[in-house]
Amino acid sequence: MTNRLFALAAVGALSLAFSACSSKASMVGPAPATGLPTPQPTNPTTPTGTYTQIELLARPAIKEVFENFNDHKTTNAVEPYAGTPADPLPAEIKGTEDTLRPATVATDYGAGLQGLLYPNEYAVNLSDTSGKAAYLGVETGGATGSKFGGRDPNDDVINISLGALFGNTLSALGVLADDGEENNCISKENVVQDPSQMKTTTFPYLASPH
Amino acid sequence: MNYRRILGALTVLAVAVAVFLYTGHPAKSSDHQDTYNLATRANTSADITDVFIFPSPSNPNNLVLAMDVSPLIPKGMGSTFFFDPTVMWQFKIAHGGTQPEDQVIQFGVTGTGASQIITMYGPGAPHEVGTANTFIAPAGSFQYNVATQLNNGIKVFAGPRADPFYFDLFAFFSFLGDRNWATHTSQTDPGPETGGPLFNGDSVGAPGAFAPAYDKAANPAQPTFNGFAAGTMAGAGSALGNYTCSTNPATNTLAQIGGGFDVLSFVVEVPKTLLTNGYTSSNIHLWATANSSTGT
Repeated sequence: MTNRLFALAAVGALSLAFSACSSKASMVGPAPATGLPTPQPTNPTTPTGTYTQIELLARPAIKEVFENFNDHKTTNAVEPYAGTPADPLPAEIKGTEDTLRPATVATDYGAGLQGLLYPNEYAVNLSDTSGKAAYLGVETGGATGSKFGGRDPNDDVINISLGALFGNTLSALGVLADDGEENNCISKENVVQDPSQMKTTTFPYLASPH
Repeated sequence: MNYRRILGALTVLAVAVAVFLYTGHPAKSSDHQDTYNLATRANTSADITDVFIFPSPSNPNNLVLAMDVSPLIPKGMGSTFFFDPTVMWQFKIAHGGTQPEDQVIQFGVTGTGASQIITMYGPGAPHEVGTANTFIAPAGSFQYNVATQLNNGIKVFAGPRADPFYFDLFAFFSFLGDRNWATHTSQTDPGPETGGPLFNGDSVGAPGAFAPAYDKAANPAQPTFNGFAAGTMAGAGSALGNYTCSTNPATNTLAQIGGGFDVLSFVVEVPKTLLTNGYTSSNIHLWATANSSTGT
């Protein structure tokens, strides 16, 4: 009797699980850790409290290159809005570039990059049909790979950024005039992505853990 | 036997390097360990390391949004790291302009350990714009580390993945040591950089007091990444001077040290129409935030 009850309970549980899977959720692709299908759980009660912003990220490397570490906490809490205190990032973009490649009669990288990189958000053209993301693709008219923009997990965002900030990428693309103030030692980093880090073709597309 | 001893020694060395990096000399970029508080929280999943948005590799009508958090999880430990239930993670989207956001996708977590349940909210209009936010209507819930299909063609995943970011961390620290959170003693400590943009321990354009390890007098090397061909020079036009670039081997820190590092990832694939229908522009701006119910 006990065994029968257990069997009935098991069948019932499986039925409920199957019902949940078929009506609301089903597994897609490989289950990364367990390999076992799991029914979608019931939505927990939605929390009603207010959550305060403590971290913000979009463009890679911008805060890290331009902004004093101690200013990140302010940027993280107020971007992309005109908060109090004011976001220090745009002034630090301009200040750093003004120092490392002073404005010339022909061009002003400080002002140019400030306008190009701030606010710290990805630009994305959802009507683009290239099927490929490319960091700074919108800002450069597709010169970095496509006009979709956004960011692909395989994008070499550091070399793209260093080339724009300290190299001649923007002048080569015609975005800014050549100022002749490039610094070859910091305009690229000579690192390539490891195969273990590369995007996959099946959801969730990010590579399995090391 | 010698092979086993060597392999054992290498394994110990790899683990030691990984632990050393994680605890003593953490990575900092593209946004890994972003502030002192984010780096030292008991649960580091409020620390966003990278954000991605790209067309789905498996369906041209879909988009993929991904947010990586919890930097520098050592190799083999990914499934022992979990999400902070006091945090809300958000993708914020502005159609046709840069702000304010008019659509959000949010994630919240209940429970602890491997039995955590993640709930996705949206995509939908935010209850409020700005930096103080509440959850909108849920789209569905799913288990930690299990790829799941929700209604409306939405696929979701939240769990450990390999960190896709590639970067020579130590070369970066050699001329921007301030970006290493461990050079700061608190959330308010300015650390070695007190006088403006810092390259090679020197305040460029503004005087300042610097910690000795990052002062140019003690560290005279010019700012350079590694891996350049012999004879490569900074360039006569550089404001920092014309000097020789480093020929030391470059290192992909997040893949080559300690067998590689992992992150926790939120990945959501949505039909493109969910982000375009009802909006007047298909040109969007996107950013990600972590918000805390405790305010810190």
